[in-house]
Amino acid sequence: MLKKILNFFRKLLFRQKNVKLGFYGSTNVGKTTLANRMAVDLVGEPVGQVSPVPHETRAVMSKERVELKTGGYSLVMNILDMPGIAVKVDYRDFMEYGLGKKEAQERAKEATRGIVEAVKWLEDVDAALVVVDSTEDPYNQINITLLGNLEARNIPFLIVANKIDLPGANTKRVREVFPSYPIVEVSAATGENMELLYDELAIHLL
Amino acid sequence: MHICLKCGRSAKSVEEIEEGCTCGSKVFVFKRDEVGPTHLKPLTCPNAQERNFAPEPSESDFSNEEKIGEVADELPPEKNESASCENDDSFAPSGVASAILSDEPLDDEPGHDYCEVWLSKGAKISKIRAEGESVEQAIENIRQVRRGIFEVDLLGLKEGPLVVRDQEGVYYVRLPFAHPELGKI
Repeated sequence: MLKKILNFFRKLLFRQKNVKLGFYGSTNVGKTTLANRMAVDLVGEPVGQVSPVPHETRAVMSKERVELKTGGYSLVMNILDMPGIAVKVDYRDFMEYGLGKKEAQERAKEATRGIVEAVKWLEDVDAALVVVDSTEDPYNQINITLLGNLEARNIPFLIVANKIDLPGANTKRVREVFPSYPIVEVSAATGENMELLYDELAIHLL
Repeated sequence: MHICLKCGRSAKSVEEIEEGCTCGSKVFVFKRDEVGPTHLKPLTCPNAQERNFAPEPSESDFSNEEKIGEVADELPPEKNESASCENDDSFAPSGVASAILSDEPLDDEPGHDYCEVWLSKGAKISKIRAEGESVEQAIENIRQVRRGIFEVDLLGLKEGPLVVRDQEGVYYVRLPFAHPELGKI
């Protein structure tokens, strides 16, 4: 009973709040695709450009006042699409995509600056979606560090197991690696399970 | 001899090193009294603001500088010890200060004191960033200038993740670690 009362007041307090929702994860896990999908679904406009080249998002991209209405409540969010987190940025990786050396070096610098910005934003986000690629092993330094930081700061988060439309997707592995965290399986590219993600967002943020 | 990283004044006794410089700093670096060719630009007299770039000293800083000084193999010779500073007779120009004020690239020739320049260039980067003068807007806290020679942004290490620039376009990032059981980072 007490829990219900507390939840009621919590929902009441959060009704009008503009939640800063950060999209975190490694590079090329589909953060921008997911952010675009949400933004298009909810306000009809994308957030940023998507590319197969790593570190396409090298600055924090935002879409403000994205409203999610569910269950009679309204959640207003600022979507913050963060640059992909990496522990090493090497210009030679970009040269494999046809960039010249100078251009690749400049991109590496911008990408590193983006990582620094994304990490600093951990201080300011109200909630986070940690996006992981279901076709890859999610047990890595970046995901562990991200989740540790979010937990230590009491920032509510959801793990989004993305790319479930791809043949190598293994969401069971994601759940095994993170058994105690809320996980939503989606395909940002096809839109599969996005409604489920919105419901989970409402449950965890409202 | 040991010189104050902040004002360049040489310490006259061990007690002075332990108690701190008259300028308030407790950070000293070791410099050998050696005569030879100079690699660094002659010192120009810095104003008070320029001399106030050094990070706040701490006990750990002091011991680190000492240790670094002790392991230095060979140090850069200085020619500019006699330069003077307006209204401050106690300010003794040093290789450290020269390096801080100089835009010369680091010299990795044999006989150069990497430890000393390592510290001084780090302080220089900090100063430039603090005043918003950086043209390049470097993002790294530690930069390898040559093999085995590093510039360190002493102040920048307090902000954000540790970023090491190994070479142009190659960066390593150490993500801040936090665990709920260990508390906030």
